[in-house]
Amino acid sequence: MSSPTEAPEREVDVLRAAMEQLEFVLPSGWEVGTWDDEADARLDAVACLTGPNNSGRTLVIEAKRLVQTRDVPTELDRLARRADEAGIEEPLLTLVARYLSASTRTKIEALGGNYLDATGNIRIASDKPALYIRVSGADRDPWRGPGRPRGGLRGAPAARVVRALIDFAPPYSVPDLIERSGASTGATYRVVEFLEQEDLIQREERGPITDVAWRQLLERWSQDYGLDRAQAVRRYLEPRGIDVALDRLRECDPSEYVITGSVAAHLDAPYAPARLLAIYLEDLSLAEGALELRPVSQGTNVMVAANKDDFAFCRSRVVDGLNYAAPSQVAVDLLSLPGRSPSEGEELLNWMERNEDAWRR
Amino acid sequence: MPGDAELLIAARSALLDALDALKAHAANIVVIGAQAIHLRTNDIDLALAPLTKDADVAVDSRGLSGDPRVEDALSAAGFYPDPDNQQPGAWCSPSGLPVDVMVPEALAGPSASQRRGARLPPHANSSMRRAEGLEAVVIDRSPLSITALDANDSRVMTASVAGHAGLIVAKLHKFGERIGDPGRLKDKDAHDVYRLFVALPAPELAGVFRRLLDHDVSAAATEKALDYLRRDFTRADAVGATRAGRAEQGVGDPAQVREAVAAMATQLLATTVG
Repeated sequence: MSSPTEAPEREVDVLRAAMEQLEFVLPSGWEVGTWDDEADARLDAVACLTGPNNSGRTLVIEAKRLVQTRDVPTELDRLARRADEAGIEEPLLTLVARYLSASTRTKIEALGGNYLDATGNIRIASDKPALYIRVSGADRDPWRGPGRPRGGLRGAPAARVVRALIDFAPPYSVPDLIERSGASTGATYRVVEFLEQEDLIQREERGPITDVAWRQLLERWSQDYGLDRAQAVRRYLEPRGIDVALDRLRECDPSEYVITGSVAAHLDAPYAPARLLAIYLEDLSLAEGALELRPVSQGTNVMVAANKDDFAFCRSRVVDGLNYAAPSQVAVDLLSLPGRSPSEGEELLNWMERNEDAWRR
Repeated sequence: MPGDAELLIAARSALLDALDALKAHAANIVVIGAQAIHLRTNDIDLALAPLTKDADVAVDSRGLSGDPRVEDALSAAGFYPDPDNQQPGAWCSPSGLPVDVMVPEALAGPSASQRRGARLPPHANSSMRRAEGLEAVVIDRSPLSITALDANDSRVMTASVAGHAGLIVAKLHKFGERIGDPGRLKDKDAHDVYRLFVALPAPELAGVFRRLLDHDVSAAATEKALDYLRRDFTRADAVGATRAGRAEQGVGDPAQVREAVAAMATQLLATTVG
């Protein structure tokens, strides 16, 4: 298989390189249609795979520079959920990366997923119309140099840096950003480097950060972070509804909890009445303690997440006796929550665009 | 739906007509049924709106004067026996809306099998209907200001309205007695139980239930209602909880309603009868 010589750095380049590899091996009578990377804001790309007699299937694609084996189940689950939300029938769930290790490929295949990488590792399996492609590309990441930093925006340090980049209007130096975010020097430089590669921030050569494409940055962050991926998430029921739970929160110290999701979004961008209360807690035992919430498996109306590193609490505000997360945190959490929450997240992002002075420092 | 809204306005109007017609007995009249549920729960926001198409009142016969007779007071105000319902106590308002006048069984005079009319002379046997399970509404009640919903009707009347606990007891009897009669078993009645529970904080509700269990008039009916509650509502898969959830099918969250009503019912039983 041919291997590109230059490392595809941006995810859009990874996607392009991997699709070229697929086109190269497709049997005659098959073609892969123009891929649309804006089909749905929460899907990286959607491509039509068309076979003889114009029968076809849709590839629903998540493209990343790197995919870790341990993340495969979550990534495939998310892809399935999002394909379902986008109304795509019988999607071929496909993970795309610059390079996929043998163990990652095995894992994807075991879970019935498909993959493509820029070195030519390909597995596409469709029963109807029948197509099976399994091609080996590189066995080692040809672009991985010694000590090369890992990309992506996973984890609390990245979250702190991203939150600060969104919440504070540039220009500022990287040392300023380190101070404002509270993240380590190493983590801050790693994130800044990654975001420069992704073209989401502009920085003068060895100088200050001059521009942040904050909305795109937030949407990119939501691929790696969301309330549903916080350290520990538990679901509860307050039988008399979320207003009763809010009254109990008023009795708590604001440093113990912060409200996110629909309820917090309503402060700035009112939508339909909130039916789910999402909160971060310093200490999860508060849920069944002072908040008197009941753990149930179905019909929950309160979602509780642990936030040990506290970044969700950064720049929160107390309104009417309740502690609310900053809009940037609320928006990223909404984008990851089920049902109509992503639409509420978009609505909040629209409000944030129209009212930058109101929330950006 | 405009149809429902018009029905709500008309039913409220018929209720005010009835309260006005029976004003000589105001101290003995309690607003019950859908109108009372609406008045007690209108400020809570649930996926399913309360439906109010009837206007029912209960009569507390303790100390009820014989003058005027109930049938005379209603007839004088233009009410007439419901031609579509031959039961005692089934009246129509001057505008043709059904108004039921009912007496709790324990306060309805001597009973006999098949006897449906209250025996409270000098009032006519046909003027008021006996009903099981209404004993709690004459104990748990308080005055509320009731306004007309029609923009052209400026009437405001203060009347005694059944409280949450009294209404829950009445609903549980209605639902519990209809188990085994699927045609008359209504999802809406089960959902009303859920609605009433949501509208009052747990400690207050438990307090009223303890009072009802202590009162001679309401103790037996309340005990029976709590038996129905235990049987039909304390598990999410029990018939009452299931029916309450089903009422929100397509508009709300059936699973949440089932779990919530089961949790509230279990908690009430734990804090009242132990």
